[in-house]
Amino acid sequence: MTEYLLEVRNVTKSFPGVKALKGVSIQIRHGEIHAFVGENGAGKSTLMKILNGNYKKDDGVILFNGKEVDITNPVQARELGISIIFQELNLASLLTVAENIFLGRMIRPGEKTVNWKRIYREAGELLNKIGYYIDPHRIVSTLSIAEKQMVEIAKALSFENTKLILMDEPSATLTNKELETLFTIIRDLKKKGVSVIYISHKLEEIFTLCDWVTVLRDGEITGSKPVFEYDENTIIAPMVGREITNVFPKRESDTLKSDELLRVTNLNRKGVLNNISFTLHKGEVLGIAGLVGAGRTEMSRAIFGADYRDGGDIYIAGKKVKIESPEEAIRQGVAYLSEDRKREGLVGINTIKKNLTLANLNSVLKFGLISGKREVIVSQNIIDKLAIKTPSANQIAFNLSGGNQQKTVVGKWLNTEAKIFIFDEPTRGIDVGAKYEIYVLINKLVKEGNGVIMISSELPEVLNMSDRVLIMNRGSISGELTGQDRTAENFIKYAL
Amino acid sequence: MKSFIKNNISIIVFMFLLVLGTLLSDNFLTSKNLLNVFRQASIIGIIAAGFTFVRVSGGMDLSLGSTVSLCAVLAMGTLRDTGNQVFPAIIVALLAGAGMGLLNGLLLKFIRGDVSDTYLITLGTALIGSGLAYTYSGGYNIYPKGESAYRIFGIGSVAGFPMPAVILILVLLILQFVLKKTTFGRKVQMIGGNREACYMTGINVHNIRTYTFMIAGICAAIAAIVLTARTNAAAPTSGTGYEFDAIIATIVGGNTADGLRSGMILTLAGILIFSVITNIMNLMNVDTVLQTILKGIILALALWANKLREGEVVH
Repeated sequence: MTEYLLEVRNVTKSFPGVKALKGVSIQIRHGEIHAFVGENGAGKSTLMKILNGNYKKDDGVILFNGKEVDITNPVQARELGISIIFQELNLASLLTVAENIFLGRMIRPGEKTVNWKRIYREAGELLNKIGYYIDPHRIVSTLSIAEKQMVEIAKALSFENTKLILMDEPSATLTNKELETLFTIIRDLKKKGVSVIYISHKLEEIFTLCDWVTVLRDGEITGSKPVFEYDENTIIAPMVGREITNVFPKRESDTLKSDELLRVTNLNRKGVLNNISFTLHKGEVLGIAGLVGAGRTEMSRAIFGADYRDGGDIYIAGKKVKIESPEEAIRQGVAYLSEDRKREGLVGINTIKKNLTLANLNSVLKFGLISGKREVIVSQNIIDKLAIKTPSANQIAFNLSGGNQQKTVVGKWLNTEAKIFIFDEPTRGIDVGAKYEIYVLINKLVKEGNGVIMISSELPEVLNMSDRVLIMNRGSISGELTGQDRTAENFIKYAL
Repeated sequence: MKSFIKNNISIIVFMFLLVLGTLLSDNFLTSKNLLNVFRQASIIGIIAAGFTFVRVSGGMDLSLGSTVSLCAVLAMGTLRDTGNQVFPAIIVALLAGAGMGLLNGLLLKFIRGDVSDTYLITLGTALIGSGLAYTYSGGYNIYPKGESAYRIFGIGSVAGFPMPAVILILVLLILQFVLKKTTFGRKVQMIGGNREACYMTGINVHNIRTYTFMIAGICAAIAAIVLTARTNAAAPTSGTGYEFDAIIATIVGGNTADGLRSGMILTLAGILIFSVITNIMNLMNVDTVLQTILKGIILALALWANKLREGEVVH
């Protein structure tokens, strides 16, 4: 057995206009849980994709089990024993769970036709082994994001000779319980001698789970040490190149005397929402917490007019309004930042510039017509304000890193006359530095008199950033926490 | 250099075709022939200009040929029945064109359909339009009594330029303006890229699609007016086949279905390329059936070329 399972020596990779990796070298040992951390655009995903054969490295050497390899495509990566779970889920939505797990490998050597019984049986066994059973006959498009994530994990584990699994933000969509399951699986793999490269922005996870941490910044390695040589504070400097002291920016809040901005009464949808009523005040951050499936997103979509509702009224600034489509909601000053930014947040195939102005084309009109000049000014303004990392505003939105895509979506809504902002998982997949920027932004929004509803599955975030926290449970609001009551224990009490 | 070729490929191809035409036929570079090319290009071009809106938003419209036929017979019939009154004839044609477009849009909305459904829907409305044309005309050709001012649209000229070409240029200018300078045009482009995200950003996707169909329908009506003004006759088959030519021109020009690359300049390039190729084939007496096959190959090549350019930085 060689000293290292995987050795990367001086690998470089460039894209038009961007040097993604500038000569990186790392070592992964056998049975090691190895974390990659770094800001968006630091190069983590790029390195993963080179190891998985999606990209070809421009220069450098990769050694797997002591032998030099040239990974030219994902199939070859699988044959070597490298599996991957992407951050952007990679499933065929119209096929079943089992078909997705065994995609491309439905017929075993020796078989002449597909043995469907075996396929479904083995898929079921895999899911049981993971500890998260889903009926393998289910069509993937009917699964929740978390369930899809579990299918991805099962798929990566279904390759028998897997020695290295690459996980790109696997926990972004998982609840605490599911996260525990994932950790158990990963520790199991470690015992079997399988290594895992774990990319995550959630530092607590890294310190709980991983053996070794490699920090990337701007395409370079700025640190690579055993995990115990870092702590929450010392790990941030090599990530962002500067000290960050406060995770959550402070804010003065005086919402007790504040005007009512949004009031929802008796919001109902059969089987999904149950008599939801609440009020949002000017200058307030209202957190919505709850377990996956509690109905938070469904409630927001109903308020935004994107989904049907059986009953309920919406009042804005005390006046009853009719909202039955996103168009009407936006006209009433409501903005909704969807949790699925790829499908509902961005027109990924078009430019950042055109995405930023889409929610408010009036902002780029001159004499009633679209002005190219104004559009450049408006979009560049937002890019600068949010520090969106891109060589130009004409870059295709899909070419941006996950976190920068999210910033683009936020930027789009900031360019509107909205007074009520519903953020659904606003910092999912965003690094420490950018997260802080978004928090500062949210604070600024409410300071200016707007109201923010923040749905988040990250407890520290929702408990710290909100003035009040509503907890949802199976379609109803089960509790409200304010002041000192905003603790994790109280959350659990109402959420279960 | 590589990007220059990629971004301007239609123009380069067009130049190449001009040279090829000159080499292959002595009659190519004559003013009579080129004027003819323009005249033919105009009718297809007007339809292609309207179709561009449908294409850019990701949709398809197979009913345009039937719309031309329907508008043609209605226009000629109105001329005949009102004693050559030009204005009513034009209004009737335009209304019919808009009506077909509206029908496409409403059907799509009714089935809550998306881009892939536009193929079948417009196939259906093509049959409806064709049926209506046959019913109205009784299966016969329609001729107005004698001449009228109406014929200007087909055989008139403005400062030496054939009227059809003038109308084509006007249509192109107006539609380019609408596509690039209005909020409606911007929405058309963005819907092609991701309709779900556009819906969540407050854009009424179904309404926008309906308007694109109506623009295409009205353009088909204008083309029918030019066509019937030229021939002074209409038949329920007047427009047959025009939809394919227009679709090919729009796609060959480089308009992509995802809204990334779009514009009347591209459409015009496609129109000219298509018309010159057809002209060269005619001058060389290529069999009609063979011409159709070649057109199909050109379409396939254009689609492949479009695929290669997807997702690149647009300036």
